[in-house]
Amino acid sequence: MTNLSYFIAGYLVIFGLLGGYVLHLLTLKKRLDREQKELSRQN
Amino acid sequence: MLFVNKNLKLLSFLAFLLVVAAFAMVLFYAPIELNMGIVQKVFYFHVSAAWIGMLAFLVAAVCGILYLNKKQLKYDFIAFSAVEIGLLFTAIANFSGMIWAKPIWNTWWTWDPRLTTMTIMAFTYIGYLLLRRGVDNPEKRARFGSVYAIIGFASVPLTFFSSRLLRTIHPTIFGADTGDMAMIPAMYQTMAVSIVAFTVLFAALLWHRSLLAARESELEILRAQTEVLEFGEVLDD
Repeated sequence: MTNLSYFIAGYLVIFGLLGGYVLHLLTLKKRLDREQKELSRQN
Repeated sequence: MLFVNKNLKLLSFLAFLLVVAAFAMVLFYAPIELNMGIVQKVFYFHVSAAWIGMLAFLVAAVCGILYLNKKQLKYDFIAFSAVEIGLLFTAIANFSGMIWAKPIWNTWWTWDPRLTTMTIMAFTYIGYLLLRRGVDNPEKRARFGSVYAIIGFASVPLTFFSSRLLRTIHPTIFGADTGDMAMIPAMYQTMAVSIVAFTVLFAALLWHRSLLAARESELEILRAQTEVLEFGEVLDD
């Protein structure tokens, strides 16, 4: 049975979602660092 | 960098190595199933993701109970993080399952009991994340989140047992009287490594996300204090 494209698509989705979540965490970390700097400057 | 301590760095590195090892086993060690062909290999990460999704919701419910008992906000941070990560893994299980289903069932989606209960479970926890945002007071939010996580957990056994108790086309691998899919030892070994890899990955992500949730909460308080100070200065002027 030739369903290689579905296999590739399946793992692209899996690693895409995992990678996307790690990127979300990195972006959140950067935003929190920036906000913390701004707030400590204001105080 | 996300890494704030050595143990978390080690755990994250271990999770990465295990996921790479599990994927290598899927590619080179697990045999191609005779009836379904290579697409069946989506199964290893699909099942692992579904299990971790349910484990994450269990962690959220346990942390909910702990928060209600001890009133420590750290349990709320862990519960919130577990729900967010649980939804990630549930989405992985759902989407990879749809891609597996298309060539095998000849449809992306069907309102089968397992798929339906899994969707109900996902929406239950999407509701948790959305409703939580509407509560400003951290303690009220934590109390609401805890109660929600405990009650919402009812959707997890419903999903788990749906393919065992109801008539369904979804295969049951573990805990069934008769196996719906013939599996040889190499398949079980790949499955076991995938589950371990995803469990370690879940632990690492949960640790990272909980630390970030704690920082978000600290900043929220700091921001509120700054606003009060600024308001006071405006009144003085």
